[in-house]
Amino acid sequence: MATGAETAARAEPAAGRSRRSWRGHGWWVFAAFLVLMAAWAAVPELFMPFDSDRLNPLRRLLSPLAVSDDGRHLAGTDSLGRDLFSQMIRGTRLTLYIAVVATTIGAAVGVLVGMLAGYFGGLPDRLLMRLGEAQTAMPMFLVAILLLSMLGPSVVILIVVLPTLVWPIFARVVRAETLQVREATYIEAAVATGCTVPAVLFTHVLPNVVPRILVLYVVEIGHVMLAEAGLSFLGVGVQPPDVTWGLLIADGRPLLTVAWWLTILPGVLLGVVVLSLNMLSRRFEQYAGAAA
Amino acid sequence: MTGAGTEAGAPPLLEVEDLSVSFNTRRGVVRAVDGLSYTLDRGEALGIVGESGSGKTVGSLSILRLFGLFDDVTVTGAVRFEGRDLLRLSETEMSRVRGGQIGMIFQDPLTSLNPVMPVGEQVAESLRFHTGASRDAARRRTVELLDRVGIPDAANRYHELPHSFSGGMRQRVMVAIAVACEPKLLIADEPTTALDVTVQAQILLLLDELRREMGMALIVITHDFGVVAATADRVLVMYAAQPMEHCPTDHLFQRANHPYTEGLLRLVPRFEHRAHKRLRPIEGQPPALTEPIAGCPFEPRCTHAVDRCAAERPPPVRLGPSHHSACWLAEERARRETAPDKPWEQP
Amino acid sequence: MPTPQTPAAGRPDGPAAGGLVLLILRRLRDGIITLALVVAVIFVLTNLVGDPALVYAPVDATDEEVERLARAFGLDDPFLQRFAEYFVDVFTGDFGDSHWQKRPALNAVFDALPNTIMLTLAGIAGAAVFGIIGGIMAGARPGSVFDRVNNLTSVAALSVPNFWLGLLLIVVFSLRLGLFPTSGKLGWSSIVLPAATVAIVHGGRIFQLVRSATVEEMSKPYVLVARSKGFPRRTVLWRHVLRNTGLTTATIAGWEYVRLWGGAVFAIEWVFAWPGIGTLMINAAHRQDFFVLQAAVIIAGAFVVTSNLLVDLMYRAIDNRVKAS
Repeated sequence: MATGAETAARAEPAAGRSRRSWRGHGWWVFAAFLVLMAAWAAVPELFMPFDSDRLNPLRRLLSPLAVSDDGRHLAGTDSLGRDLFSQMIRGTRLTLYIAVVATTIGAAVGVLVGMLAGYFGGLPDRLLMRLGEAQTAMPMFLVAILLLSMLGPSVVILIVVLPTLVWPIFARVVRAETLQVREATYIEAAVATGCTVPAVLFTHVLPNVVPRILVLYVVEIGHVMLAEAGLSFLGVGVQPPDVTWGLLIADGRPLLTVAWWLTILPGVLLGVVVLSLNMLSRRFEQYAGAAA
Repeated sequence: MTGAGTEAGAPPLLEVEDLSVSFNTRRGVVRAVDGLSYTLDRGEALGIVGESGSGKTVGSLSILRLFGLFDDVTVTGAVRFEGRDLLRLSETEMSRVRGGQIGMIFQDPLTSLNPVMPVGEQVAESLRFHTGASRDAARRRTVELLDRVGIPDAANRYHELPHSFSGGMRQRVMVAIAVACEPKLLIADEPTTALDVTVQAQILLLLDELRREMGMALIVITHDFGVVAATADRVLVMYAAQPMEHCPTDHLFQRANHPYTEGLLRLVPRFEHRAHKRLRPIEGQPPALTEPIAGCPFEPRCTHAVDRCAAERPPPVRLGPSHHSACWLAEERARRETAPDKPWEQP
Repeated sequence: MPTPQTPAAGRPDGPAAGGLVLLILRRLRDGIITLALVVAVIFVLTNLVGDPALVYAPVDATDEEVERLARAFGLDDPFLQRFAEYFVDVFTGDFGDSHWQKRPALNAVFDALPNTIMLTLAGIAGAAVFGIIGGIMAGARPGSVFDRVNNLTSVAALSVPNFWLGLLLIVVFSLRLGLFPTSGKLGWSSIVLPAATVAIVHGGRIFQLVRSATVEEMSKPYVLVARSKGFPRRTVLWRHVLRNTGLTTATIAGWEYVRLWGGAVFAIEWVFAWPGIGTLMINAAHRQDFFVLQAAVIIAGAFVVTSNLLVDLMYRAIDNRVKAS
């Protein structure tokens, strides 16, 4: 749809190619960032410029990049004089831990339920899927608040409650895929040659759903991370003295008028991590799509 | 042959000159059309034949400069319609040409009509856009048109949605849309491929009648020599984005020159075939269009190929009035004593 | 692949009027089962995880008060009997009294509910306007600068915590520019920032869904046909494509409204101290007021189930009209 002049301009191949190559390789940046986050979580001591817990009344509420006697505070300091950047690094471990463990449990439950429901059909299928449906039609965030305040907020309870938010998504995808695979001839053949049901499910059905599960898994880690931050922010999630990014945002909130960085910067970090996960999952999706 | 009546000096209706179209895709540059040239006079009918992927559809869509949503296209060459290069018109000028001077019929009638718009309106909107007709005038003319293309009870069916029409009826509606503004050129892209055999013949007959009534030129794109024989004065055979042979239709069946054309003709089932004679497919696959091709694109599959074929691209060789063949052996083959009047029985 | 995005999809429901009544009844039944399930979970948890009297008692209750509460509950009765009584209470609207507000928990919830509804409607309206218009414009020209910028913005909006986005808006528009109040509900300007936060997050999702629906529709052959008639791209978009995507778009916005109740809005309420269900629940949670908590969850659940049903019916009604005409 080009006039002659435009046509000529588009004949220049270099511009088009560079744009494409950026689109093709941009995911490296996100992957590298996530690797850095994993390193923060694994060995925070290596990265923390200051002791995250050391109080210092002389360097209270310094704004980002300010310099105290101890050195430069990249993200400023809080009302007790603790270095925010060091606290953010310290919070990485628990933030990632909760998100990954909760999502893994949710995914495992969802995959299992989805496979069983899809493979057996009938009553178990209807019951399990109705349960998932019922859940998506409920204000689950409110239910989570209720459960957490009833059971007492703690990391363990969070890891029990958060998977309830994600398992139906995995179950739905796996069930649909299982239904399809079940009809395939090679499944019939496997059953006919005496494979047991678990063997069929794990050796034939599961490999088929792995690419889609992987894509979902990466996205849902992000979602669970946001949910944990929300619950911790509301005071029904992680409790001090533990630190997560969501809790840091909550801690900074009363000082919003005097020290914006205490709320805004942990949120930026969390946002960039979730964004990276979203971008990576899009990349996986392209691969999964290309492989299919 | 038609077209002979054109007075000297006036440009032909359509003159395609060295048209090349390439798509810049993630997997590299795809040359969809490579060096296509032909002319078409007023009222003349040209058949463009080729396998899928041979560039016949893209070549024709680029006359109207219509590409897909995501396509990053590079077009070179010239498409002169009544002397104006369509590739250099502004988008506004182009929109007067599309539908007004050049109508187009597409392959799949089932998806070519807007499913939520009454069929009559889909014809009338084109009339109103190009002729500025009033709502009533456009409606009256639409009913006439629908009636002409063979929609029974046209006045009442004007308001119906496409899903209540059969495939054949929808293709008739498509024909009505394409000819609504009495275009000078009608492009029909595989107009009968998606239809039942009996309906195919009816649609071809309809196209031929309308062409004569309205004095339109016609480009019919097809993979079916039967369609060519029924509608076209001349034939252009394409292979791997390039034109292979260009000849009058009656020459095609009597004096086909290019080895590729010959191979295609062998694939047409005939009543003359004896039971033990099998259709012989051309061995091999068409080349990938992402790779540059140095010589003749058909060379790897050609049983007559000589060394030169792989190295140099053969230019079109003139074998007679409006008969060209892009083959290094064209003249030699044309001189053969045994003119292949039944090429399907050639060894 | 049959992945039912909506509870409605994938079920053979006839378009006839009789089918519609049957559908309403079936969806109502589903909704009630859902709610009953939640009520059952709440009951079982309170009774299994420890002494329910302790759970329900205020934090500062004395031993005597806890004991009195236990007697009032009839905690000595058999489990199943209490279960049944609990169900009867809940479904007759008796959610107990809030020891924090000294009044029936249900009243506290009904005071907060209209505020949440107001906020969600204002938010979804903004989200729909930006999401739909942006999604159509981006989908009509995929790969354009407009498309790329908005695509990235919407992904970013979906990647940050929604409550944090609210805080960011407070910093910029209340503290720096002084345009809107930071919190509470004092006049029309109070709703602007919380509604904008909702609109940004959910507008991002609506944008992405509408965009891909538009792209898909623009790739259909009839669009090429319409272009071959000479219509400019924009005319084709308005005359042809939007007629086809209109229904999908309306449904996307409808489902997004239901989805909104799944979480985002409540933390945003807390950020802006908007006196809705979310703020009520957090306050109740901090005061260990379980009567209010469970009433809020069940009432909000009932509201979501009802909106779900309405969106579903709306979709079917429009769909049938399209098919019938």
